[in-house]
Amino acid sequence: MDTHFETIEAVLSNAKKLGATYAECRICPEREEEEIRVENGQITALSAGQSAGFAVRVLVEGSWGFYGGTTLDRQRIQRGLERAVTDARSNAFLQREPVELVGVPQWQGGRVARYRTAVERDPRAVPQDEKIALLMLADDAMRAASGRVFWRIAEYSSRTSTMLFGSTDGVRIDETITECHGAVYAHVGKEGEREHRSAPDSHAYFMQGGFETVVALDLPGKAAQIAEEAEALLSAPPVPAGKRPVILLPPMLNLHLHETMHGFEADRVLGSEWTTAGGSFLTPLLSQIGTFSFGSPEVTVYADGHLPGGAGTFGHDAEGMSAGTSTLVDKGVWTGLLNSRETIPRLHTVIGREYFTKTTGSVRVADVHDWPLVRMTNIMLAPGGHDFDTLCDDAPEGTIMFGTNRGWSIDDVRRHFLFSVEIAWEKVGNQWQLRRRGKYSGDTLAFWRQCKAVCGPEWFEHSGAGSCAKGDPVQLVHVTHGSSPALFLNVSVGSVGR
Amino acid sequence: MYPEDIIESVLAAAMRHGAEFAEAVVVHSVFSLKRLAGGRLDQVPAREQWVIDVSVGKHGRLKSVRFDNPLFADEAMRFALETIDRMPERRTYPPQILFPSVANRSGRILPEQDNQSLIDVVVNARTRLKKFANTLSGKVVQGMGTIAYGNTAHTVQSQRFSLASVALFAFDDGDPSRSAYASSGGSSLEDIDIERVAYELTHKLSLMHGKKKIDASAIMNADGVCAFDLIAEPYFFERIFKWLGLFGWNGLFMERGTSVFSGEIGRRFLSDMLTVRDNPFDPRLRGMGWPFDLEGRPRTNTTLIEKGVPITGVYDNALAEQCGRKSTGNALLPSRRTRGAVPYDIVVEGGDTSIEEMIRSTKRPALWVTRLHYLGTEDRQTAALTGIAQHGVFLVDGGRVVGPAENVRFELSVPEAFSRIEALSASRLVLDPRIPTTPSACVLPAMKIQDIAIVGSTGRDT
Repeated sequence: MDTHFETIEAVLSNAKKLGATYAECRICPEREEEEIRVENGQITALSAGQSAGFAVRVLVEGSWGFYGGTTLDRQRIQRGLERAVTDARSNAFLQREPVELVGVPQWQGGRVARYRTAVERDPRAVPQDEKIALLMLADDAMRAASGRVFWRIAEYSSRTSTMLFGSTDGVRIDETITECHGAVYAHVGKEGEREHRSAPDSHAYFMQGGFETVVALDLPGKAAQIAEEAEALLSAPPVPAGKRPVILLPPMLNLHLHETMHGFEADRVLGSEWTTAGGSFLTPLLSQIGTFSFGSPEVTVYADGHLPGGAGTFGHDAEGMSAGTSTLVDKGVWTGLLNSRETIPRLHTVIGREYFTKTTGSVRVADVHDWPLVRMTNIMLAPGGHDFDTLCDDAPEGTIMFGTNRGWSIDDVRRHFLFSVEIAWEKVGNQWQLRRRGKYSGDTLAFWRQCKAVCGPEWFEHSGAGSCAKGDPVQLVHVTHGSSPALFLNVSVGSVGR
Repeated sequence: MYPEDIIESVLAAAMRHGAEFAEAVVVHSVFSLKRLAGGRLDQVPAREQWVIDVSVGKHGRLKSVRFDNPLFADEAMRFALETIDRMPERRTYPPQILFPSVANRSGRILPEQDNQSLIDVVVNARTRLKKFANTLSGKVVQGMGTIAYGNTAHTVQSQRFSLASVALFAFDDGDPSRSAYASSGGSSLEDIDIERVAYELTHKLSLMHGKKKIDASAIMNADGVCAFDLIAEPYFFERIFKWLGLFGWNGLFMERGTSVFSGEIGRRFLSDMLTVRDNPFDPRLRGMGWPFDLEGRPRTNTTLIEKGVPITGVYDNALAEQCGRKSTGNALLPSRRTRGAVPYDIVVEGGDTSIEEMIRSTKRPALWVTRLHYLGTEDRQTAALTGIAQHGVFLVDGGRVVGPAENVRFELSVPEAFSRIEALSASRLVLDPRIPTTPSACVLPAMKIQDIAIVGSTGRDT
């Protein structure tokens, strides 16, 4: 690492000599990935990946310059710096106002902040046979549970990545993050009909930690359950159309929360993301931050960059700021935005007053050579005080309960949404009966304002998304979300397909 | 260091570590991108990138490995061959025959990857769109590189490529609810038709200026249903046809019975106006077609839909042999082959009806839409999709544009919608790459399609 930090020191020193008022250099000495997939009892993927690289970002004459690459050669990194500085000078021709960054807290000279994922069993040290055996067990459980399963998938993947960072503000960071993912999918068929179920989630849910996190998922147990559920879905009626009360379970609610909270990213609010992800309904409301009624008083949402095991957990973010915890919605009132050193001054100009006292520490890069972006860390819907069994018992007849997410679409300002699910239940005669192909749609503000109950912490579950897309070129990052089951009133429901 | 040299060293390393067969794809690319937001220069990513994707075979087993730094080659080959015995022994289908070289058959190469050229494009766009100078958002991108393939059966392919595109969003008075989108691109900056982009943006915003948006989702027809004929720009269809490439024509899903085209080959179930090909040689691709697939097979013009009749799915070598078919030359990277095969160069044949004529011929309420956001899959097997039409949505009636409409959410089943095509415009290149490190263009027409269900609209009330 010392050699790489020497490279970083040289780059930062040269950047100053070349006229940069600010510079940062990021080096990834190595990222290791492993993927194993078992389909219908056969190993279909047993692949490994390795990568490395660098990125240099400079501010020259008030304008950004950037260059990244997949090399660790010091001379080529130096050439990348020169290219970034040259580009920044020519970019300055287009820059209307100089880029302004909020300051970083005093950094003690010579200090290197280190962060390492807490790992019980390093996935790189776990014998491949053990991983394969686990997946084979899960595959066999699906086969044994249902004769209707025609496509069984059990998969595992892991990633260990080291990132070194230095900036002309004196910040020095050395982080190694280890993540693992495991999942099972059962596809069933009967007379041309197809259904499928996933566990623990339909989106690759990475957890920070070692192989122990995958073992804890109990994939074989879940595999049998989803195979049985998938077969039962083949003969279940579809979700009826109409306006109903709905209970969202965490595997659906977490994804809904994710899609909503994209609108709380400051760069989107300021119009940076039109080319890929879109804007935000909060843009015309910026002056009302701190008072605007976003949801019902049941709704409190916060970002937590410290969550143990979270895919969005780290020591410092990609611009060298400490990971933080911040409230985005407090008892229904919009109070915060995920932001960055660059977006805060611009937000204050639009808001017309100083509102943010520090960054949320939520700038991330998917890969070392990517442009740093404001991203979600671990976003949680705070648990409420309701008991889940009581909520189900008290729910009116006709209430629909939605399980694992299947499909999603939301407009570019994050208002009109449509989600479909793998599994649903309808309350009929005080019983929860299985329903297939469920969907619900509506307007973001109306939906969160109709949140009438959130269950307590004992019902809280994490899940996440393994391919949250943003930026140009598009960057995919892992995020974790958490919620307890929640009740929403007056929601448009129905079924998809056929 | 050239991709061809890296292939040679990777294949040599594989053989040194005991491989009986090896194949490698090396993609080397550089790009530079300017992202604009609210008229200001916002983000300026630029980079050089390598992708090295290798498959090795031994004792009837195949294993793949992927890395992005040539220095990892020897270690990666050693690891792959040390662990290959864990893979199941089964019949393998690597392309053992020698394919003829089709290198550099197409593609224009940019003279230079210089920052100033991109800045000139931005300045040109700003000048032409001076009225929206403070609200212009979007991106200008330029990229180039080499895609090379080699295997131990001595097939060697190499293709240089280049691409350039501009995609702009303009906002009336900075109001995000009144916006227009247009894009243009090709294999060089000279292909960018900034005049057309500027015309489309200014024309659409002039149709919105000072007018209240209509909520089309609240308009019911005589049957009490919210459905409109749709006049959709070529931009709108890009993601739908790419989705069909991944989940529809993909031979893996066709054979598995989960594609919308499964069991439909040879049966007319789409409009006879619809013909779709995977054709790398179509001149409208401006040299951006892929002349070989990622197992080195020279590509041909494959007809996917002929006058509404599905003709074939797409296959790589292994998938084709397992299914008793012929490869169509659509192999993915070695490490991605378990995901099937996809068309590379989708060309939808057009007609001769301009968008203006589609509007003029409209006798009942219709929606003219520009861009599709967030295509969502409701059901893969029936190709039931949802999404939002935006950045230029207008209500059309009585042969004219009535006024701007709010973004609308549609729900459609692809086979049902594409059986109701009423008119097609001439086709043209659509290129707005999300990842500018490899070519990914389509040739698409505007279409007029009857009776598309609208199930909601973007709310603006707070």
